Amino acid sequence: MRYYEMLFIVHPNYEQDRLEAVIDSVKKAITDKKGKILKADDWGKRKLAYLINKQRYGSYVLMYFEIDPKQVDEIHHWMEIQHQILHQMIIRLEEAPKLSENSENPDSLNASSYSGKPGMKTEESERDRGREEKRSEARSEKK
Amino acid sequence: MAFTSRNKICKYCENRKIRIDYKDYKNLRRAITDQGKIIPRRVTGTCARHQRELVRAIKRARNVALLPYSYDANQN
Repeated sequence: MRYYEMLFIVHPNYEQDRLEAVIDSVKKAITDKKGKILKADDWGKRKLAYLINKQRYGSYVLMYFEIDPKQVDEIHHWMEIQHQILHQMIIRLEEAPKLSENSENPDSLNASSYSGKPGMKTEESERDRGREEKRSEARSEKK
Repeated sequence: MAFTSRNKICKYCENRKIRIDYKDYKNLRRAITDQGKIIPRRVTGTCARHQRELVRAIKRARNVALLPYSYDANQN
């Protein structure tokens, strides 16, 4: 048995109950292969950095599980077939993941631990921040 | 000969708190250009080990659409 981390993107048309159903079907596929789900984390709908299957948005789900390495290819293949899943990535973890109760949504992750270096680097980060603000403004306008 | 000053200290060695993780795309954005290219370590001063980790994380983030392969002006 090995530990794995999987991030997959569900089609944006699947919301709430239907999204839950998709997540449950993925869980079932893993447990059917004698895997064990350690954590499932729904990040919610977010904008994709590029189009996937002509979709601009997608619901991200992060999952940690434990499974026999021989079964991973089959899980991957099964996921590829599911039309409601836009994309997935499975990563092998070298050691047991440190699971926290909280969501690992990147919008809340590590936000405070980063401290920019003074000097030329801060300029860059300020520029970054400006860009981000512009983006979020653009996003809210769209909504 | 004119030498331009450069960052010789690896940001990630200096601050051990920063974990390099593909999910943390906001911090990874600092390691790419406006076009989305990975900034070489001769520019940033990142050490070989951390640059390797960064590159892996950026490529993973690109794979799952957290970061773009390129920021295209015509896109969106």
